[in-house]
Formats: sequence, structure tokens, C-alpha cells
Amino acid sequence: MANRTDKEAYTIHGTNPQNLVEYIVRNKIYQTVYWKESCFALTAETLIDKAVDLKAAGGTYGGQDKPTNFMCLILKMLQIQPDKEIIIEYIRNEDFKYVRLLGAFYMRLVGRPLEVYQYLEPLYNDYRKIRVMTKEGKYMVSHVDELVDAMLNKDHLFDIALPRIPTRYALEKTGQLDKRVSVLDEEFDEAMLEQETGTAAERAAQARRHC
Amino acid sequence: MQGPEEKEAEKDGETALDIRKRKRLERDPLHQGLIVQRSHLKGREYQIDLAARLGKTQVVGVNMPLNQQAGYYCSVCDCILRDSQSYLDHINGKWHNRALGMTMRVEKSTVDQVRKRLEENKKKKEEKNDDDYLPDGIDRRILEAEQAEERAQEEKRTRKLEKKQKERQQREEEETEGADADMMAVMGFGGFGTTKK
Repeated sequence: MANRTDKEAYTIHGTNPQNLVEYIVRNKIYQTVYWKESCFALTAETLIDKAVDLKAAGGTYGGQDKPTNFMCLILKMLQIQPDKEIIIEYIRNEDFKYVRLLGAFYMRLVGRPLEVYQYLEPLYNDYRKIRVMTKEGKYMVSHVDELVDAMLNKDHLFDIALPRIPTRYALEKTGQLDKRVSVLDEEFDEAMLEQETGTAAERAAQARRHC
Repeated sequence: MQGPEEKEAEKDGETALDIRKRKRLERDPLHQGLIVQRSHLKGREYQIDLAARLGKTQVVGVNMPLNQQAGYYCSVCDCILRDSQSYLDHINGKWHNRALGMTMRVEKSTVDQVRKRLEENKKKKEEKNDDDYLPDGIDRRILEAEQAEERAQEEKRTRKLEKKQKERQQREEEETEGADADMMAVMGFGGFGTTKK
């Protein structure tokens, strides 16, 4: 059937990848017109065309908990299971932020903890605005880095229970991950240096006055 | 749909299910030997218009051919679906796509294809010039539509004016034609102007 997972798909976390989306949400997605009309027979390639047209990210919304188009495409990706390289290509592209978010969210659902940190953390440097559909059916402004942070630290996002990953701290302790270097560190250090030189000069001036 | 099938079943001793199965096989190009292998599932290239027959009046009878009955008609499988949801389910379904010679599996796309598609989309995005989008977010099409409406109104106005002018001319002609000039001269008046001087 049109909703069946690809025959050659690997199991994810021990089950059918589509099971990552909860049963109720999944069935609601299967019933949407967007799924039946636009998501039919999508490949990882043609999915890009649909993802480019996305207007918002989000889980379900409204009184009937209608799934967003973003959610439909996530389920589609779980169904066709694109290769890891393709997902990395999605994440790496800089022109389309919703394609990037799709890739990142899929990576968070499917990837191993180390991969998740490896591919998602660079997105902390992407400050672009994102529209998020809230539960009440209203739009909310968010940013790519904000959502990536939520993906890495929260248990639930977009009505999906995220698979558990060890915290960054734990991975650092076992030596699997290096300490994260923020691009802001440099700026911060410079600011600190400036402040220090400033205080040093002041102190010197004070000392001169005393003499 | 059930009616004629049941009648057929009585004739041949086949159940309705058997008939349905037989017809499915008849439609399947692989089973008919027309193709060697089913192709990958491909998406529809056309947009489905679910509201095509909305608001239309139609005479519906039980004994009419299926494509004239109420609902959505699938010409591939020669069947009728009563609502849009079941129609969509049908055209996404296994039997329909088998009749089109396709399996239910999509092609695995490669990284290169994905890269190329992303490039294409980028180009398309860049090609969209700024005229398409006015700063306050109004699509150019809205502007064009407004202009077209204005033009239509202008045309209407000119047509009205022309019509009026034509009518006036006709009336004048009728007036002059209706009375014979010679006769009028004989009767002592040349027109409807005043004779006072």
C-alpha cells in the first residue's frame, strides 16, 4: 500500500521506522489530503520540491490535531528511508531552511547519538527565522538554532517522542566527543581581553595618581 | 457496482469476489504478458481536480454506464468511487497502480540526484525576480488582476459609449428616412425647426 514502509528499510531502534511517529498522529497523517495528493510516490529527490514549498515547521495543530505538512514529510522520509548521505546533503544545504530542518529532525530521530551531535551542532550557527505552527493553530517565530537546541535537549518535539540520546556531558566524559567550541567563544575572549586591558590601564593610572 | 456482478455470478457460478479477481488480472499488464517487469512507482504528473464536477446538475440512473454515474470514475479500473477520500485511496492503491504496470515501491534516489535537485531549486529561487514580489507582500499577480479588471471596465465603458452613439445615429436616420423630403416640401414644411424668424 501507499503507506507501507519500504521493504528494504532497516529497522530503527528495533522497530519499523514509521513507528517513531505515534500511532494516532501517524493515522491522522495517512488521512490528510496533503499526504494522499502530494506525498504519493515521493522519492528523496522529489521530496525536496515539496520541502522547498514548506511554510512552517510544527507537529499537529487545531482542535482536531491536524498534522502539519512538515510532519507529513517527516513521515514520508521515515517511510522511504533515504541514505545517510542524502540526509547529510539536506542538512548541509544553506538555501532552504525547512529542508535543513527536515534533515536535522530526521537525523535526530534515526541517527546514532554521536552522529546526532556531529551533524546537528553545526546548525547552532544558523540564526535564520523559522515559522512554527503551535498547537493552537497560530504561528510562532523561532530560529533554526533554537529548534536544533530543542531537538538535542528535549524529550518531545513536534508531537514526537524523541529517541533518548546520552547527554553531551556524558559523551564528553567517556571521551567520545570533544568539547564543543562555540563561534561566540572567540568574541567572548576578545571582550574579556579588552576588559582586562581596560582595568589594567585604569589601575596603572590610579597608581600614577597616588605617586 | 454490486448489482451487475451478482447477476453475472449467477450465470457462471462465480462469486463476486472471483469476478473481481479475474478482472484485476485482466487489467494487469504483467499478467497479460505486455511487460516483463513492473516499473517503480511514479508520482502523478497531473493535478487531481477533486472539485471538477462540483455544482453541476446531472441525471443519474442505476442502469447507466459507470462513467456517467454519481461519484468519481476511474477509467483505468472501470469503477466508481463515491467520495473524494476513497477516490484518493483508490488511485494510490495497489490494484490501481498494478493496472498501470507499477509496483508500490519508489525508486531509490542517489546523492547526486539530490544535489542536482537542490541546485535546480536554488536556481529557480534566484530566477524569481524582485518584480514578482512587492515590498508589502502583494503578489504581482494581484496587481495584474487589478489592472486587467480596470482594462475590462474601460472597455465596457467605451463599448457603451459606442452603442449609444450608434443608437443616436440610427434614430436620426430613421427620422429623416421616415418622412419623404419631397412630400414635406409639398406640404409646406422642410423639417421640425421653427418657422419663426
